[in-house]
Order: sequence, then structure tokens, then C-alpha cells
Amino acid sequence: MGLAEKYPVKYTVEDWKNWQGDWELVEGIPYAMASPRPINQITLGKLSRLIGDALDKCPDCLIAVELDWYISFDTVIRPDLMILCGEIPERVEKPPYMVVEVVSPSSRQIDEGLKFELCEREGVKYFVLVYPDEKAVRVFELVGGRYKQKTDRYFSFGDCEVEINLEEAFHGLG
Amino acid sequence: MGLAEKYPMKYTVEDWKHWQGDWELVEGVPYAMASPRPLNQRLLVLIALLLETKLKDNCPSCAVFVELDWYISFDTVIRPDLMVFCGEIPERVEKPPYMVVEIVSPSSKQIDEGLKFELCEREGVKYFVLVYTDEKSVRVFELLMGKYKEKTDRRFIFEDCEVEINLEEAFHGLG
Repeated sequence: MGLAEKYPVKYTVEDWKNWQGDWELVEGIPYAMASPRPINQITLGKLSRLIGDALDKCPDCLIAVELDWYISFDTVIRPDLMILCGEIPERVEKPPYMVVEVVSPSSRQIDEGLKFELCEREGVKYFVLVYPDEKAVRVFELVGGRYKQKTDRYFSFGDCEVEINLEEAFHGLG
Repeated sequence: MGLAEKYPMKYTVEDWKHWQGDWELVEGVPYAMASPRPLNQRLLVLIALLLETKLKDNCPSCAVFVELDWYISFDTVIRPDLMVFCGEIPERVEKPPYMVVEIVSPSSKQIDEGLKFELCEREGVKYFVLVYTDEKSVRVFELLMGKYKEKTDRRFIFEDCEVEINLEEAFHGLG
């Protein structure tokens, strides 16, 4: 057994608040946020515009980019993009309607594993993984407490239904 | 099984170099360094002064280093409160020091007494010293056959020189 395994330290959101730099905290364990790749940031920008435009039909909903979601006393994450509906809270504590993560090679394991399961557990309705290198999008919808991959691009936020062709974000990316 | 356990992330010293703030990295796992308590910082200065004075008179090739990073391996780097090295000053510390001193605070107790203790033992640090500010006490461990054994005298052998350092004297300066 390694020393780090033998002597794990669990931190809290109160500790996390004092840290410099960009960290997420999951069940007390710090996860360093990788410095973003240009292609990821460009894709995120395009996604924001695409989703933002689509949400014109859902005036109660808005997108939040790189905002902290305070899940519990020892868990706080900063998804690339979230869709929140209803009143804008002082800080996000309730699960968003949608979480979008733009996947890079270094974040793959975290996005596809940790974030996927965390959002599933916390009840995020739509979980979206965007692969800029492969120009691919995977959309998961919570059905009976489990994520099920969906192929259509219709989303319902509260009482508002909207089609968002997420793949359009890759247009113009060469 | 928790999610963090299921999806552990192991970092390297190369990752660690990009982090802001004060972090140690042990076997790829980040450890946040607590913001130091004033009393602990004061004691650290007093111990550094005491050691420096004794070493200068008795072991001139040895010197005290405060809050310096020790690069142990590709995935492990720690910053002890104080280290004693002898010989040439390297560009960066990769070899084990002769002595590591940690000032223990309530928040660092588990790490100092457990993780750092075993790490220094494994890496071959000759003397491992824990200083307890609140109790005004010192525990000194010496490496004997690869294991730390607590010693009660205060005689230390650095390289080829022997010196007596009554570490407890540092508390006098606290008033």
C-alpha cells in the first residue's frame, strides 16, 4: 500500500476556498483543472453561442460558463458549461438542467467517469460530452436515475422544449 | 466505493510545477499546505537560528534550509519546514537531507506524524524531528537499520562531525 493511500487527506469546500489556482474538489479529493487547450476553448465558445441562441425560446433558462457548482460540503466542480433555469441563485447549489464538458485527452477519464457518475447521481437531466478532436458529441439523458445515450437533439427544460443541434458547433473548425 | 476512490487522479511533478499556491505531491496525490500559524513560524525561526549557530561552530560544511522543495521522484515533491544539508549546495534538492524538521500543528498532525515520517524513513533521512508548539516538546527520531527509533539524547552526527543541539532551547525564545 502506498503512503498516499495510507494517509489520505480529505478537504472541505472551506479549505478549497483558500486555494489559489483552479481546482475542483470531489468527496474531499482535489482535482487540478488542466490549463485549457485552444481548440477546447474555441469549441466552448461556439457551443455557448449555439446553446445561447437556442435558449431564446426558453427565457427562464440561461447558460453559465465555467461557474462553480457547490454540490456538498466536500464537493465542488466547475463544468465547462451548465444550463440553469429559474431564478439566478447567489451561488449554484442545485443541479443544473444540463452539464457540458469539452473533453481533452488529459480530462477524458475525469469527464467520462467521475463527472458522468457525479452528474448522474446528483440528478443533472442532460450530460453532454463534446470531443473537439473527433468532432463528435455524446448526449446522455437521465432516465429512471440512469444516463441513457440519446441520438435526437431535442431537449426539454422545465416546460420548454427546444432542438439544439450541438454538432453545429464544429462548423468552421476546419 | 466513492467516486474519488473509483477515479483517482495521479499527478506528476511536471503537473505540480504549474499549480499556483502551496502544494506538496506524494505518489501523485496533491496535499494542500496549510497557511502557517504565527506561533509555528516564530518557532521555525528560533529553531533555524539555533541549528545554524551550532552547525556554523561545529559542522561548517552543513547548513539549514527553510521551506525548500525536495524533489524525491517524478511524482513526489515535499517542502519540509526545515532541512539540514551538508556539502555543496545543489541546484535543486534531489538527495535526502541529513535532517528534516516539521513543526506540527493540529491540521498537519496526521501528515507529519504519518506520511512525512514514513516518507523520510523510506528515503533515508538520518534525523526526523517533530516539534510540538503547544506542548513545547520535541521528538527526535534517528534512522537505525532503515527504521526510525526515537532518541532521547540530543547529539547528532552530520557527515563526519558531531554536535549537541538542545532543540528544546528554541522554546525559550517564545517567552
